[in-house]
Formats: sequence, structure tokens, C-alpha cells
Amino acid sequence: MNHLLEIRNLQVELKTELGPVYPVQGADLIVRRGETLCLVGESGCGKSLTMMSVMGLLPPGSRIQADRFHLEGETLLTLDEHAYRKLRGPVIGMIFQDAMAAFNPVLRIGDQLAEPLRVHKGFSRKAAWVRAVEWLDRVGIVEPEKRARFYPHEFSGGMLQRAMIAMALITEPDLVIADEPTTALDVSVQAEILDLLRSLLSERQAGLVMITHDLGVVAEMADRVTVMYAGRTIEEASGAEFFARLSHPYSRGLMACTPNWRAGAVPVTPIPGLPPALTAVQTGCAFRFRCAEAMVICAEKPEITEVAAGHRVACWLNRKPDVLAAAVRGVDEEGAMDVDD
Amino acid sequence: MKRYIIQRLLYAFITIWFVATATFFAMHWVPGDPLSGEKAVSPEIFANLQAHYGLDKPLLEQYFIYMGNLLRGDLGVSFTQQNRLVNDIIGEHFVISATMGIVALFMAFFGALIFATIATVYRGRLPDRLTMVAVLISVSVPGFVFAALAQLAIVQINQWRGEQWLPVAGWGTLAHVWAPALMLGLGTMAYLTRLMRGSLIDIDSQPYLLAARARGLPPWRCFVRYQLRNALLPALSVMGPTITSITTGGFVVEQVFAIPGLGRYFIQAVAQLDYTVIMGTTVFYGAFLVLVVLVFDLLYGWADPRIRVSRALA
Repeated sequence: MNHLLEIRNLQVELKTELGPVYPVQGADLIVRRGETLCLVGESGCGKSLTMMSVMGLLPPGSRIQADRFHLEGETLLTLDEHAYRKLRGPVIGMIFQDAMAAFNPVLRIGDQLAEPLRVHKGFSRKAAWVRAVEWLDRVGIVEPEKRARFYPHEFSGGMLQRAMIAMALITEPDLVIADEPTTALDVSVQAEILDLLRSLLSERQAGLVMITHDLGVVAEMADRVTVMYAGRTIEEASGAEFFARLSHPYSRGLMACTPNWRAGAVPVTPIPGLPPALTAVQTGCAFRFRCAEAMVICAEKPEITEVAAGHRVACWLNRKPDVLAAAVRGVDEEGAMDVDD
Repeated sequence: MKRYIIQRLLYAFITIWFVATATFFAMHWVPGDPLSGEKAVSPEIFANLQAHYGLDKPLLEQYFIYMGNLLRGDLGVSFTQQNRLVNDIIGEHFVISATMGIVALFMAFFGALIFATIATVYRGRLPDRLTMVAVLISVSVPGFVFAALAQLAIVQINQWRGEQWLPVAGWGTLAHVWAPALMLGLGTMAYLTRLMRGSLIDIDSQPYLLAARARGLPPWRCFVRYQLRNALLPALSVMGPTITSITTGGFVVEQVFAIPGLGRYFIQAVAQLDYTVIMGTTVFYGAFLVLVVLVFDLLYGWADPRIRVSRALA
């Protein structure tokens, strides 16, 4: 089966003044055509960096490696910058969190929308402008001819986010990456934007990766869910399966700190502590320091394994009793031995 | 917009009036007068001269006569230069100062553009550090020191080549322009380089630049349209003060390179208390700078849509 995007065991190395850091060390995810993947986790868990490596836009001096890093069956690892640039826009589009900051303040909205069409698709200035106006109309901007001549500061936040969706989709990409597209917006506008995004993408069977930490949005949008912690994928499942069987203590923790206003709901419980620093060397399960269910065995790194069809978890709690028993015996006897499946 | 321009022109007029008035009284307050020279003159001739130039009248009356003439655009006659009209002096010699100033400004602006780009591209590495050291030296050492050093260098090069590669001083041909203009623009170039480098580096981490790259725009397009264009705005906003400093810097450079620009006449006039030339050049430079600043403020508004009058209010 050909996935639109398939990432297996992605490692990202960033160059810093203090030496290399490894903010992503084992990201796994899959996006299929027409599906929405929600990438979940606290800030600093490597979600954005994972997606920036898909865009090929990591800071200079960064290095990535992976077992699989494929877009429509082709590896992205060996692409040179010139070939990569042709993917950005026509094949992979990106929607940013802060729309106001993602537009150049001194260029007209219409010109910024039209630009990728001229660069990638050879549109004339006029044809590109006409298409930009069409797209502004399609994302629900009233009086698009007039508004296309506006500058970003003349748009409201919600309008800018709509314009940004138009800007990402105007080159008709197959994969769209949305980095917290609604966190900067009013709650009332959030739902409209999400609906818009979903309807525009389902028209064209494009895949969507949505980076978010709002489980409400996940429940609303996700065909698949991938949870990352400390640069690693710790749980992935289909949307329905994920909420039916939250299998990693971290996923349950995220759920417990999502407000629920239904009558009789339990109060919000935060997860104690913070995610580990990126410079920290990870041994074992990175979550064990904050985990209420941590065991001795958690000092060993749990491999990510399937607990149900399409549902994979990296946690000792989800291992079959015999595997766990064997592993525990190993720990007892030798302290820190490698554990294989 | 029209109202804004009219308002600014009114302020400009008031500023120029104030400059003229302050200069007039300050100048007359200075002991001495333009008619007492080294040659002994009999009291009768002196009185005749005073009457001829109107210096025997009460100061306030002289002031009103001068202001009346000024409004009609008549700047009077020089006391020291064989009855030349001040209007003619300014007309002939300002062209020279302006030519040098414009060349200096262009050199400063485009030099800054190039050096700031180099410094940004090679940030933290040798080209950047060299540029920043050069910037530091150029903003801290006064322009006339560089002017004299440049002359020395030109003499050395001419000797070494055994021919007149560049003239050391004087005015007349295109070759006379380069050295003084470069020396005049150097401080400004350094200042603008530092300013543009700062903006370029700041924009490096702006999301809109990342967003432009995420749309697959080619690197040069990202740089020119999203980075450089925005980085020019702060430089444009200091153009008024920049032109002021190039204009006043010109006075000194003209002296060093023996260029017959207006600055030299201004300095001579002050030394000789040539009342009409002092007034004429001061009012002229004052008006020139006030208008240049106004023009660049309007240009800045055109270049940066954010400070234009809002569409909703217009």
C-alpha cells in the first residue's frame, strides 16, 4: 500500500552553539490520501520539527535520517534543494499558526497569493491575480476583488487565516501541513476555519497533517492520531480507536487535562512536570518521570508495537504478559539488558 | 493626504522663518561688521558704505527690509565678493555641492546594501566581522580624517603608476567626483550598513520569510521581495537625517578637496561676517533640508503601507 506520507524512525539533529541536539529521535507517522492526521503532544515534543523536516526547511546545519521518509513512495532523504523547492507549494503546502506573521506586511494579499502560481505554474501576472481573487472568494472572503488589494494589517485575524489557507491551497498540493492553524483565533472562528479546511481538502483527496494540542480539535477532525512525546512517537491509531482505547499513560494524561463541560465530568487533571530538555540524553521511556504508572522496566526503552490493528503504542503496560514477564526477569537478573520483541 | 501635505508645508514655512530670524539677530550680535577690513578707511567713507548697504538703519528696520526681500526671493548682494548677487552665488555653487552630495548618497546607499547583504549572508564569519570592524571605524573617525588619508593614498597611487590616476583635489571632471563623494558618504554608508544588517538579520527569523520559502519561492525571490525590501524601510526612514549629515559633512570635504561648492562660501562668509551670504546660504540650506525631510517622509509613507492613512478611515 502506498501511503501519501510515511515516516518511520525519523531522527533530526540540530546544530546549536552547545553542540548537536536531537529533538526528534524516533518519529513515526502515516498519512493517507484524503485523510486527516492529527499530530498531538505538548510544546517542544518535536511535532513541528518533524513536519518542518518534511518541508525540507530545517535550520542550516541540521541533519536527518530515517528508516522510511517517503512521499508518495519516493524518498525525500536524497532530494537536493532545487528538487525540494519544486515540491513546496505544488505538492506540499503549509498553513502557519500565526497568520499575521506569515504574510509579508508590505505586499498586497493578492500578490502574495498569486506569487506561487507565477513561480510554479507559469501563470501570467493577470491570470495569477484572477485565480488569487477566486481563491479568496472560495475561502469566504467577501468582496474578494477589493480585498485582494488590501495589505495584511487591513485584514482581521480570521480573514488572514482564511487567506493563508487560500495561499497554501492555491497551488493545489497533495499534502497540507497545518501547524496549529486555529490556536490564534477566537473559539467561534475556529470551527468555521476547520470546516473550511476539511471541505476544501476532501474535494481533492489531499492529505492533511494537523499539528495541535487541542484534543477537542482531534476528536472533531482526526482520521488518524499520532501522539509524540520528547521527539518520539509513543502512540498512533485511527481516530475512533484512539479515543476508544487510550493506551499510553501520556495520551490518557492529555485527555485528563482537556476540559469537558458535560454534567458530571471529572475535573481537569494536569500532567505533573515538563517534557525533558532537548539536550537530555534519553534512556528508557522518556515519560517515566511524569508517569503515575511507571515501573522498574521503564528504564528500558519500550519499542513501539502493535496492540490492535493499526494501533501502535510504545509502553511496557501494553505488552503481552509473557513479553513483559520475560523483560522484567531480564531487568531483575542483569540490571539493564537490551530487550527485543 | 492633501491636508497632511499642506500642514507639513505650513510647518516648513514656520521653521524656515524661525531659522532666518534667529540667524539674522545672532549674526548681528557678533562683534564687528563686514565693512571693517584690514585697510584703514576714513570715517566718511565708512559712513557712506554703511548708508549704501543700509547698515545705518535701526536693526529692526533692517530685519523687516531683509524679510520683505526674502519673501520676494531676493537674497541681496554680497559684501565681500565684488557685488555678486547672493542668488547667483547659490545658483552657481550649489550645483557643485549637490552633485557631490547625490553621488555620495548613492554610494552610501548602494554600498550599504552590498555590505549589509554580505555581512548577513556570512553572519558571524570573517566577511561579517571585517565589515562590522570597518563600520565601527567609519562611524567613529571623522570624515575629514578619511578625506586627508584618501588624498594621501591618491598621491601615492599616482606616483606609483607614474600618471594622474585620480586628481588629488579640485573640481571639473568626473574623475574629480569619486574620491570626495566616497569620503563624504563613508560615515553614512557605515551607519546604513549597520542598520540594514540589523534588519536583514531580524527578518531572517520572521515567519513570513519561512512562509515564502514554504511556498517554494526561489531563494533570490525570497531574499529580494521578502527580506531586502522590508529591510530597506528602516534605511529609508532615516534618509532625511542622512541627507542632513551629508550636506553638512560636505562643508568640510569641500574644504579638504578644494571644491568650489556652496559649503566653502558659507564658511568664508561666516569668517568675514558677510551678512547677506550668511543669511542667504543659511536660509537656503534650511529650506532645502526641511523640504528634503518632508519629501522622504512622504516617500516612506508610500513605501510602507502600514503607515499610510488607513483605508477604513479615508
